[in-house]
Amino acid sequence: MGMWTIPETPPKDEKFSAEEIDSFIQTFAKEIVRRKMSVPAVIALEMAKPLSFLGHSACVVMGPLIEMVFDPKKIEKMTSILSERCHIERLLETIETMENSVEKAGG
Amino acid sequence: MLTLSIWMGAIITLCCFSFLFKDNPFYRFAEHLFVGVSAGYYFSAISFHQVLKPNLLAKLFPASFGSGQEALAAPELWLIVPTILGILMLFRLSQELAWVSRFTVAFVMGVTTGLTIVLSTHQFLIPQIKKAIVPLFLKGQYIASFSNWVLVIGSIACLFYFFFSTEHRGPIYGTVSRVGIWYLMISFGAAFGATVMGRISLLIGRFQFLLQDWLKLI
Repeated sequence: MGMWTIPETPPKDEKFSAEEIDSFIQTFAKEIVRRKMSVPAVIALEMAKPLSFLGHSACVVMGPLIEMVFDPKKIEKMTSILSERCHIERLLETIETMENSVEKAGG
Repeated sequence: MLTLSIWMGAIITLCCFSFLFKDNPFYRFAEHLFVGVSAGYYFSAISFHQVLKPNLLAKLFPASFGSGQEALAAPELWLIVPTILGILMLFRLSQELAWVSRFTVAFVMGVTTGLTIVLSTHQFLIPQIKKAIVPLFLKGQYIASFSNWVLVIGSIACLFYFFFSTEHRGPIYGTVSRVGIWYLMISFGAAFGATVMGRISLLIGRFQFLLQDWLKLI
């Protein structure tokens, strides 16, 4: 593996298993598709993807305050998703897959 | 010194542009550097020098931290209360004693919510409602009338869309919330366009820096 290669699978997360992250991504994508917000969500995620690490860092810094309002477990999972770009890629794919299946079911 | 800062700026700019090729260690270095520098700047320059020092330390220990006339003033001992509340926040670092920080958080959340509700109502909610109540028919002013119709229909449709207590189905609720989605999509599109324009102007600025200040080609 050369210096230009960033591993495609993220390093093993100590806090959450891959299944937990996957299930969170599924729930997240489901809510976006349910609200018919797939297009803006995909645009926003594609735009913000290169800056995901900054989002992750902001979540870590603001965590103690955000956790007062939202479920701390969900915030930690969101932080974990933002920490690796491949998680965001998976979220994008999940949204697109769900949107396609909804369209097929509707059509 | 100026040459060094120009070279550093140029190298970091190129590190950021390298993401266009693919995710790579140079880009990761640039983003980690940005986070590190921002955190360091925020905590030292802003949190300490602009917030903690002038608002707390200079008033609690004027002889040590105050400057000019401030150094001669009597210590404001009531500031011990917010100091203690601030220290309580540090208990979040301990898993067993994290609950102690809730006192501070409860205080901050209570005060902030109370103030924000009043301020937001006066500054955003009421003016927005006022601006949405417009005449739908203006004699002889067809474009202004059309604009008012667009505004009123958009406001109502978007409010319908954001009401999630009922499923978005049926001839009235389903249709109106669908119109709301169209309004939202158009506004998202406009926001996206504005973002792209903003990013392009930033890109032009970076290229100007690289070609003018660094390479001196233009």
